[in-house]
Amino acid sequence: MTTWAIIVAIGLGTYALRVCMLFVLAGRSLPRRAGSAIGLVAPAALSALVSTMLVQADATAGGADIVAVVAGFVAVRRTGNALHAFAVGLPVYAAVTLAF
Amino acid sequence: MTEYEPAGGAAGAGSGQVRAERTTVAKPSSRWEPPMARPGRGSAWPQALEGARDITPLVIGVVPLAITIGVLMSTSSLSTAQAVASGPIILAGTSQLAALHLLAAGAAPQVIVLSAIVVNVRMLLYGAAFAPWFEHERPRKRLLLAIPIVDQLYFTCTARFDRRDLDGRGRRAYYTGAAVWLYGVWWLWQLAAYAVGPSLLDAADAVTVLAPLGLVGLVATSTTTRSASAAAGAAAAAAWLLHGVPFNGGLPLAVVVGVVVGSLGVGDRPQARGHR
Repeated sequence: MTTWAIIVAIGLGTYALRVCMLFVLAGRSLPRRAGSAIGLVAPAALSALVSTMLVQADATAGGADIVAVVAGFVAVRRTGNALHAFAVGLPVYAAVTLAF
Repeated sequence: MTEYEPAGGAAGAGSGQVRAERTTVAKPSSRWEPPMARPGRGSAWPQALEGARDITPLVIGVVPLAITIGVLMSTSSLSTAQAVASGPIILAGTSQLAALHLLAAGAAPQVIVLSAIVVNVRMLLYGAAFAPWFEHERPRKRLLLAIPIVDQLYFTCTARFDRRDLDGRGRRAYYTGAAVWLYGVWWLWQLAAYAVGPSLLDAADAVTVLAPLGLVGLVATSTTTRSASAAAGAAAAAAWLLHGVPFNGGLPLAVVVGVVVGSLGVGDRPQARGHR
C-alpha cells in the first residue's frame, strides 16, 4: 500500500515539475536568478545522494565502493561520458574487494 | 554541420540573401521561410522517425542505468506489479534509483518521495525551454506533451527545433517519435534486467555500488560550472555530516545547503559553458 503511494506520489510530483512551465511561461522567459538557482538543484541533489549512499554502505563494504565511486567520477570528468563511471568503477570495485 | 545557425538566427531573418543558399534538405527553396510557414499535411512519420534516429545515441546511454534499476528492483521489496509499473509512472531513472536506495535503507516515505522529486527540479528548466515551442498548442495537448520531458529529450529536441524548419505538427511528431523510442527502450531494458536480475549478479554485494556509480556519472557531467561544483561539493559534505538524522532527513537539508552555497558565488561565475 505504502509502496504504491510512494510510486504514484513521485510520478505526480515529477509530472508537476514537467508541466508547470508550459503553462506558467506563456510567452515569457524565466528570471535569470531563478534559472541559475534551479540549475544548481540537480548537481546538489545528486551528489548529496551519492554521499548518503556511500556513508551508509561504508559500514558494510569497507571503503571499496568509495574508491570505486571516486575512480568513476574522475573517469567521467576526464572523458565527459557518464557511462565510464561503470566501465571504470566496476573493475576498480572488483579489484579492491578481491585485494582485501 | 552545415545547418548550424548562429544564436539569434531567427531575429536576423532580414538578412535573407545570406540565408538564400542555405536550403533545407526536404524542399529546396530560394527563400528562407519563417517558422510556421509550412502547413502540416501528409504523413508525420518522417519527422517521428527522424526524432527517434536523432535521439538514438542518448538512448544507448540510458541502457546501463535501466539495467541498474532493473537489477535493484529485483533485489528490492517491490512486487512484480510495482516493478513493472514504476518505470512508466515515474518516467525518471534518477528518481527510481534514489527511491530504490532509500527504500532499502528504510527511509521515511516522505523523505523517499521528497528526495526522488527534488532530483527532478531541473525539469522546470526543460519545461521552460520547451514552453515557447509548445505555446500555440491547446492546453490539453500541452498536458500530454509534458509527460515525457527529460534530459535526453530536451537536448535532442531543442537542438532540432532551433533549426526552425518544423511547424507545430512536425515538432509534435519529432518529439513524440524521440520520446517513444527513448522510453520504450529504457523500460524494456528495465524489465529484462528485472527478470534476470538475481541470476545476473550472484554477488549481491556488487549491487550496492551500482546506484552510486550511476549517479556519480551524472554528478560529474552536471558540474560544468564553478557554482555547480560548489553546490555539489557543499551538498555532499552536508549529507555526509547529517547522515545520522533519522530516516535520511538530512538529505533534503543537504540539497538546500548545496544550492545556497552554489548561489553565493553565482556572480563570479566564469563564462558558463552550457546553460544548465
